[in-house]
Amino acid sequence: MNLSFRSKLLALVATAALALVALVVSSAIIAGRVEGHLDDIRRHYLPKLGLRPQLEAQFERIQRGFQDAVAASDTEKLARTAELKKEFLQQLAQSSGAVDPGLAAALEQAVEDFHSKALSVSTRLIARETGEGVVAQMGEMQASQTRVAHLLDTATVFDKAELTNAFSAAADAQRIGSRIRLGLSLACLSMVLLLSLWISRDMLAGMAHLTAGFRRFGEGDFRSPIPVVAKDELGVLARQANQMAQSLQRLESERSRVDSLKGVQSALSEQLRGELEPREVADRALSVLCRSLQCPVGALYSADPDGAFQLLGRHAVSAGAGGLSFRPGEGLAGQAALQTEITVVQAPADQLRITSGLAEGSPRAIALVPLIRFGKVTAILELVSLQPWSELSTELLASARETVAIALDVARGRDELRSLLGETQRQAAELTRAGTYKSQFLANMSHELRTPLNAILGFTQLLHEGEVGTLSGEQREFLGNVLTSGRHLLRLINDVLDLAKVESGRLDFRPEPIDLPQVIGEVNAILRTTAADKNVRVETAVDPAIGPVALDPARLKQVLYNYLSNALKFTPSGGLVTVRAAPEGADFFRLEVHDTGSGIEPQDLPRLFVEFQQLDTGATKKHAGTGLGLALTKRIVEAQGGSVGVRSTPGVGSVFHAVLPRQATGEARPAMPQARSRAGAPEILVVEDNPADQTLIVEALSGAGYSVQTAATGAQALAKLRERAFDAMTLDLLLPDMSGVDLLARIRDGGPNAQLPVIVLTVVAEEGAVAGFRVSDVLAKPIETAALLDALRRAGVAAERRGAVLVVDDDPGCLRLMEATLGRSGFQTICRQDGEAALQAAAESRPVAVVLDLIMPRVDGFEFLERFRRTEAGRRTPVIVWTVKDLSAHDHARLRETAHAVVAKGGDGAVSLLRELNTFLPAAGVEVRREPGDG
Amino acid sequence: MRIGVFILIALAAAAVAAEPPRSAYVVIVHPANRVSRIDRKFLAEAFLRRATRWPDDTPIHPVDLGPDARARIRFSEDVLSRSVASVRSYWQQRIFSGQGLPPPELADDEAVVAYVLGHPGAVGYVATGTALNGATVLEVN
Repeated sequence: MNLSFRSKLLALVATAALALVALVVSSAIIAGRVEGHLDDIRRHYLPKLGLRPQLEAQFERIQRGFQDAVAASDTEKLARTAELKKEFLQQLAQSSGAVDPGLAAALEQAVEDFHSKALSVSTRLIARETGEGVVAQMGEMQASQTRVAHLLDTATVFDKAELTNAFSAAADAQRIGSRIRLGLSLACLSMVLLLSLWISRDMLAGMAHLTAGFRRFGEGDFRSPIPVVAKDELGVLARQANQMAQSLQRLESERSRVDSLKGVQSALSEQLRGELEPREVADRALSVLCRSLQCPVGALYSADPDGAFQLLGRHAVSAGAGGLSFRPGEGLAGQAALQTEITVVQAPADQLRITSGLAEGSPRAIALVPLIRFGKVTAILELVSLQPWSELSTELLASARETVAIALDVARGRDELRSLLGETQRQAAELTRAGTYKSQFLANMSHELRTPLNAILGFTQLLHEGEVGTLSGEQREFLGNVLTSGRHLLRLINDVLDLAKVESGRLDFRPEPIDLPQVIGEVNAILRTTAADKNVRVETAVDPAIGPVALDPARLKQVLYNYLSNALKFTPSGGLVTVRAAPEGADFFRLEVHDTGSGIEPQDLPRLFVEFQQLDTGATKKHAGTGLGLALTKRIVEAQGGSVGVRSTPGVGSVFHAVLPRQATGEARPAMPQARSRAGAPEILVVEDNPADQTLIVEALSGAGYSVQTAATGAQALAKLRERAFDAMTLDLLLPDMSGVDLLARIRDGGPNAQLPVIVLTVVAEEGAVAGFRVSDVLAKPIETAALLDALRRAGVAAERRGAVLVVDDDPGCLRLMEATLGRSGFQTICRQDGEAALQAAAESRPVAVVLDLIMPRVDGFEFLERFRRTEAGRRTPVIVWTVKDLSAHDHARLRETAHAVVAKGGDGAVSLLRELNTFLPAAGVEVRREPGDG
Repeated sequence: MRIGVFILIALAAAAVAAEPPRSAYVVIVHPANRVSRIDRKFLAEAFLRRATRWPDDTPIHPVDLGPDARARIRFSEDVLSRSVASVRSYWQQRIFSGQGLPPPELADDEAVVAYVLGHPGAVGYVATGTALNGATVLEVN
């Protein structure tokens, strides 16, 4: 039945309710009937049951009333019997319902009769009448009495049968009622049961269908829907479940479609991963697509640069098959190249001959897919199917073609890139080789250039200083010119080499603690001649607040030299150049070189620090220079974390500055001995405020084997003199803070140096100025080295003649130079041109020191050092490396172990070398000081 | 024969009873009554109307003297074993409860004799010496 469960349940409930109501109503009716019967019994029979004894008792009271009255012969009592009679009659009247009215009337009459007769009898008895008449009347009275009794009997007689009938009627009603109730209950129960069974049967059947259906759906079987057996809720549920199953089926098919799309995509991604050749890409893509679309045959044609399509990849295409190449518009495949959409040609089997790229088989469908990159058909994908083509296949191709196109593109691009890269690498290798050649060339060149230059400079210096013979003024001047030009040439060579190093990133720094005023002084000394020639005054101002500075001194000198030489170059005669050093922040200091030159136009400022660019170019070039100096300065400063700059006012002057770290980071220079004082050597204090003069004096004295200390002011001098005793002192009379005479006076006043021999140096010979003071000698500036040394010897402070120094160098010029230089300083010289011979000489003659060139044929300097250090004699002997070689970090590391010092052959002749030598060599008769770690 | 003997005895008894100290009353019945001797107890029953039939099934009609009669008093005491008042009370009770009628009380012995003679089933008593007029005297034992 097509009723909903709700209706069925409502029907069930309604039936049950109706049955209940019927049950209640019938019960009520039956109960009413039974009650009626019982009421009848109660009203009709029960009063009768009680009435008789009441009436009898009442009647007996009447009798007893008469009896009492007679017994008492009391007429009043007799009269009272009337009341008793009345009561009786009243009672009778009250129970009229229980007594038949006719009988009641008869009874009333009989009682009246009895009463009157009894009254008569009683009266006569009281009157003592006892005769027969009385007795007769008594008889009548008793007859009346009997009649009353009879009537009472009759009226109140209890008909048991009637009562039984009444009861049985009630019982019957009760019984019938019970049966009806029972029947109704059973009927209701069975109806409810039937209804329930009916409902549950439908429901169970529906549920069974639903359960089976849901299980099928759960297992993914959506083909057979749940049968809809009823229009009830389960039916609705079944319909909705069927709808859901349909939706799921649609989703499932959609998902499987998406899955297959994704599958193809992921298979493609998987297969096309990695660096593949275009042909590999084509083959793999075809393989994936043919497998996914169940196409037995497929091919991929790639567009040539000239527009033709060539077979690139194939899947089950025999090598000899036709259609390996075509042009756009030729055949179906060629037509596909002219459009962007996928072309599918559906063909009934064996009915249509298809002219396509593939001429094999009898295809049911051919799909032609143009692969498009950036709006251009780059390839054609052709797939042949032996089955009818499906929409899904087209969709798959549509989703896959971009992937394939990109992969193909990438592979082609990679191909091109690879060939380009190969070309580039070849070129780079060539360049690298060329660079290496260049570096080697530069290194060789610098060595080859510097070695003869070194000799030129050295010998010139010897000549210039009058060591060889007395010179005329002109000779001296020309030699000075040779020296200046030679040094300039050396610097140029060095600059070129440095620039090469900067470009190859091989510029290294070896920071060490330096004395900034001294470094500035040294640079000043180099340029002293230039400044003097141009009549330019150079002033120096170093702010002592800078504190300790650790930098590569050679590089710092280079920077300063470039700035200073530049300033001197552009400052006109009578001008002033000022070198200033001041703190810049906590970690830097600023080095400034002020000049009073022509200044630089603002538009030219940016070109200053650029390589190979000079401000005045062309034929009118006024100033010499390569244009490398400032560029190199910038590179050097920036490489140390600093910066350079310039400000200029045309017509007033320029200020070049460099900001440098106070503590440069970088490879720390090993703690090479810095001591200027050496044990045993006579100690000389040089008090000189002019840095150039100071440097000159220091070099002269150091070269002669003295230990030298310097002081630029009177205060510094006094401080040093208080500390220790010196062997002698040179004194400039013009000091910035006090006069030399005052200083002299204070020395003589006492202290450890009260008896100190003092050699006064003065610009003008002012012998009178020191009159009254005990001085050893007074020398006029410019100072001659020989005169100074003579003066010291006269004062009894002589550097002793020292032992033999082994000089090892393959260049005879260098050997000769060194022999001359060392000889001047009191050394014997043993010269050897190669390592082997040098080792032999060292073993034979036990030199006090070795001066070693590194670059030599056969046994070079490094090997010599290693072997020399292994000999008994060589273990402690100081070795000074004197070389033109640009030392690498590795070279430095090796030399740190074995050499005492490294001195570059350069512009200052052998001065630096001598200084180092004096550091390590004792005065005569004094044992060689043991260096830490020297064994 | 036996009746004769019985009468003889009754006579003898009457002779004896006639003696005043011994018996002040005689019990009499209708001459047709064939009873000659009567049991005192039966006589009491008859007078209290508890026995109502003679042995020959004729009804018994007892009759009393007035309450003040000497014979009545003696009869009550002798036969009924209770006082006259008690007997009267008894009857009053029974009269109004309808249980029975008392024997009529006659004014004198002659009236009793006359009543007995007038009613075949009657039984009464009279003072000794009363003219019986043919009424049979019963011997009471």
